[in-house]
Amino acid sequence: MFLSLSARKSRVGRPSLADLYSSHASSVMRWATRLLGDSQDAADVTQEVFIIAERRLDAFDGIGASDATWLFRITENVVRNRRRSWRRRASVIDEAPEQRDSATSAPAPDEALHARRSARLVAQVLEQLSQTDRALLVLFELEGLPGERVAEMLQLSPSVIWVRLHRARARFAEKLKVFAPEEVP
Amino acid sequence: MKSGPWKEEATSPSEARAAALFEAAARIDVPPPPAFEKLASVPRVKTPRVVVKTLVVMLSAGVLWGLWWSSSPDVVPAVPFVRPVAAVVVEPPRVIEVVETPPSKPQPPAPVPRRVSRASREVQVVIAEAAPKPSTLGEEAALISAALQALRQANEPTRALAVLGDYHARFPDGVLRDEALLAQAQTERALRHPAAALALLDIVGPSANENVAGELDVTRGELLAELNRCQEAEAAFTRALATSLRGALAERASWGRASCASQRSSPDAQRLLREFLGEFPDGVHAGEAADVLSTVQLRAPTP
Repeated sequence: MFLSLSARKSRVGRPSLADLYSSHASSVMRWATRLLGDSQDAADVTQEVFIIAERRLDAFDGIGASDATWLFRITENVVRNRRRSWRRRASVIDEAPEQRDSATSAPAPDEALHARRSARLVAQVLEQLSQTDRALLVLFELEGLPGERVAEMLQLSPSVIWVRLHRARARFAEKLKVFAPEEVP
Repeated sequence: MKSGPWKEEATSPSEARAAALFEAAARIDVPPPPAFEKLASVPRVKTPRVVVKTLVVMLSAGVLWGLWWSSSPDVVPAVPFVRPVAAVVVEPPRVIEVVETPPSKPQPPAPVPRRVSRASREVQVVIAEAAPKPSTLGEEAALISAALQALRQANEPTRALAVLGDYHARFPDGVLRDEALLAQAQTERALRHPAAALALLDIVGPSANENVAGELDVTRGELLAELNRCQEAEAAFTRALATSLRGALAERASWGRASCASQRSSPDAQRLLREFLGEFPDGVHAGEAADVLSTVQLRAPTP
């Protein structure tokens, strides 16, 4: 069954899926890339995020959380589920997604390769952090959003966002020492 | 307080390394998102919610049914739990050893569990056949104990009789029927109804088990003595002493026999009194026995 999304009318105060997609698809694609550490599956994640959003659009009232906040949470969940299924598959067929990526990817220029490796390592260490720490570092350090916007998206008080950010940074550095003690970025 | 770029604010080498890593990672090439039309063409199944709701209802019903099943008191547990229970239940000799009397009358068949799962049916049938009737020994003993407590400690023979009446109503063929009758006889005796007490003992008579036979004869002898039927009493005491009586019961029997013999002016009275005093010199009736002996010696003709 195919839904005609374009025919879907937006209700009062509630965006249609087409509106959401045109406004946030690029952001979701970036978040997925940051959280996955690779852009290869980011397109699939983006589609999955908006399919879920479409299903929950009626339940989402937009009160207490902005569209971006809502979509960011869905993206986080989709990425986490995808990583979980990767781990299960890897345990069965002994094929980690990283190995699969590196085996099938075409050689990249040095800088792009360095960025991809760094992004992958960042994503792996971010997985070890709490949801808030991960979101803070992705939105502030990788997305480059201003603190006020990050606070709004994560529904945190602007006064505490900087303290939380510093703590998240410290925790990331500690996890990095444990996770990749020898690797030099 | 605000925060600047991490690289400038790094407080340790590890943070500096992390900041550099982030800086490099931020430069990853992010492709544009797929077109909206592509998303629109992704097939979707509309039915999952109905399916999920149906599954949830079925699961809930299953869980509720399972809870109801397991909480039902007359249902034997499932197989893994039944096996050890069956092993314990198939030990009727242990119960019989305690009672020391096999059931005198055929027991009605054990009730079959009302709901039996297919998996455990076979095991449960075995249990239904092998297990004896659920023992009422504990309840019977509790009732008799309550009656004796009312009689001896609370000194309320009327209440004791009521409790024993309840016992006979609930367990007309109880395992402890003889003990209950004996307790009832003692109660009647406490109420100064020796004839009624004796009638109760006569009911017990032939079927009395070894536990109560000695006490039964001693009590019967005492009741007969109270009713001035000393010859029968003496026979009852002699019968009791022929068994392995010990302690207070033996003393009561020995004293009863000697006392009855002296009342009847039996030629054996002097000998029986001496035997009693020799065996129970500090007994409850020792003083009385010495007095009776001196009286008997005075009455006896001088050789």
